[in-house]
Amino acid sequence: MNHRRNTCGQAYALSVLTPIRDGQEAPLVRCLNDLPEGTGSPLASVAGTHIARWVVIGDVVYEGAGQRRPDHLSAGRLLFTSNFDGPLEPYLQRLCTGLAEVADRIWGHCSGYPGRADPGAFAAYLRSHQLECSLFFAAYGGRTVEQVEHSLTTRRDVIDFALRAQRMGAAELQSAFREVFAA
Amino acid sequence: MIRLDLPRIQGFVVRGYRLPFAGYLFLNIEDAAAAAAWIAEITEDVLTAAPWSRKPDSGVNIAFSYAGLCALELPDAGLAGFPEEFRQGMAARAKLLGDDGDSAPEHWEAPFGTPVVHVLVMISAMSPEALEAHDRQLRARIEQIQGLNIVYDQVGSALAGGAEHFGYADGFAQPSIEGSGVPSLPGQGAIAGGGRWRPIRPGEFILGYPDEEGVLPPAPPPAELSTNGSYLVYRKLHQDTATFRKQLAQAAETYPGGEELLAAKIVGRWRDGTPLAVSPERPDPAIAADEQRNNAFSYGEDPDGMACPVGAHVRRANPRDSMPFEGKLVNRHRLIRRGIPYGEELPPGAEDDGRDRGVIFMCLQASIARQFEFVQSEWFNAGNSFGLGADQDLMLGPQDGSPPDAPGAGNGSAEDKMKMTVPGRPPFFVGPLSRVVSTRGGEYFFVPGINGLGYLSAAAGGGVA
Repeated sequence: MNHRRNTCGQAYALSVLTPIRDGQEAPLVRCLNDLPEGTGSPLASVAGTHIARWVVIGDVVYEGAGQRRPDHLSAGRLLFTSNFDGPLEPYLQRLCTGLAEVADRIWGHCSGYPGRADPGAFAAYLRSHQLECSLFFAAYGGRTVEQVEHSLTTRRDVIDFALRAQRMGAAELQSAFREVFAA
Repeated sequence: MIRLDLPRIQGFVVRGYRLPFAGYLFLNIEDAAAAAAWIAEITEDVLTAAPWSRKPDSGVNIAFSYAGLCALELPDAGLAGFPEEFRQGMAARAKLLGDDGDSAPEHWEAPFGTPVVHVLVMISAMSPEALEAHDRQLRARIEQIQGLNIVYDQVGSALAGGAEHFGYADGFAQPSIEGSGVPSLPGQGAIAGGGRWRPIRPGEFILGYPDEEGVLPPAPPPAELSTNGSYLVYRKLHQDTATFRKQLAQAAETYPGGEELLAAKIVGRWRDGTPLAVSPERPDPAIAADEQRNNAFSYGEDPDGMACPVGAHVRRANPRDSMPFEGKLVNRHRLIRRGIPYGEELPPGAEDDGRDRGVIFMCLQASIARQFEFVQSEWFNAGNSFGLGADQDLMLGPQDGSPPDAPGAGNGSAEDKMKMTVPGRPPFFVGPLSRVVSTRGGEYFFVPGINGLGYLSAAAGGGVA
């Protein structure tokens, strides 16, 4: 594994492809669909996560007339991808503790999953199914999640101000600006 | 050079008929065998993409929802080969599409959003008489068939001057398709570099042909079912004309350029269709009327949107060369638009009269998820792709604010009150905005080729193993 290829600035891209056990695809899809979203998402409890998702790849698609014979996967695959504040090892630990029992509910549908009771075995399982990125681009590779959130809050403050200031005269504008952005 | 099998592609996929009257019949199938016989019969009536010797007075096209294909009792392998979003249907995709509040499926007109809608029959006509005659003939035949029922209908007609209900001339930009035989106009295709355009690969819209990636788009087996087919999105969109006018007039009170310039900034075209990118100072009827010029523009020279705002409706719908990678990101998200207004015009200056008016929005593509759903959710209902934060399209956006768990949200922030940003020195903010277009119903349909119609009528009811 060439970890440099998984890195963009300080951001790291983890891609893990695990085989789904026989007959477990539908329950896995249900389990993923039932995950809460927003602040309740289990991924919200994994510090340093920019973007992450699970994707069930049931089979390869049929491409129509040009395809001479049908192609099928031997087993469905679960893809997990995450862009996070690197490096990898501490993130695997944070995944294990942050996802808690959700990790078992999800990867429990996959072959060879050891469970999270032994964090070392959990990390080793994900590492052993890790794919090397062929291309990783992070929009804010130099910024941590905390810094991005701070920037978004600043952006809101500036927009709030700009909207409020749209009809102000010069003197009023200056004093309002000082009041809001003095600190 | 690709050649499309035009006589086996439904006509409206490849060309806009520009027929000013439309009728839509929605059917429910109770008996697969009866429906199969009817499909074989109506196939004779279906207008194909083969070149016309003379423009017809009226024409028919036909499409099937996933529930409809299930009701036809197709083989499982074919049904399973349809993409997820099509199988789920439009109502199940409401959250992604921003169909919440007034637009939520629970408020849709019945029977939209239920598995009752199976077949869409579209009639296009030159005159109300031609529409009525064709409509009467179709209804009479359907009424004779046990197990095939009309469950909903809709009519539409072009407004005076080709405008839509908010008062803008519409329907300029359409992707030109390689191999379609329809002459390509400047600005209609894909960006080819050096200010040139080329037609878009047909697999972006029609199954069985190479797409912009150079591969065949995913399609359900067998090829006879899917080749020459396309996916159709049908949406009945109510337009709240009075509120739109009020928002515009209120904002224009403090906009230095005046109401008509602001109206143009919102859309990216003046009311008559003159592109802001071509004529930023004033509308030019000569440009608007010239199909060699009314769509021949790009945004490369205007990255900040000083002429045409980055968040203008037409720039969101088709960002042309304002996205990186020489148009590659844009060429995968193009739509063929077919649509027509419905309802009476609201007279100028009138208060809301409570009557239903809007547009029957239809678009065609090879992937509903990658094309319509992407454009609606990422380009209209969000601002992130364009560096516009939480801004949404002024016309189509739900204007429902940012999610309550976004950083800094929920403190009465202005980003919870929706706005549109008009770049300038200084920039101008239009808002607070409320929703002016709401969804009254809709569904996803598959538009088989003539070969696909043949397959359906043979395979329905388990006719083909």
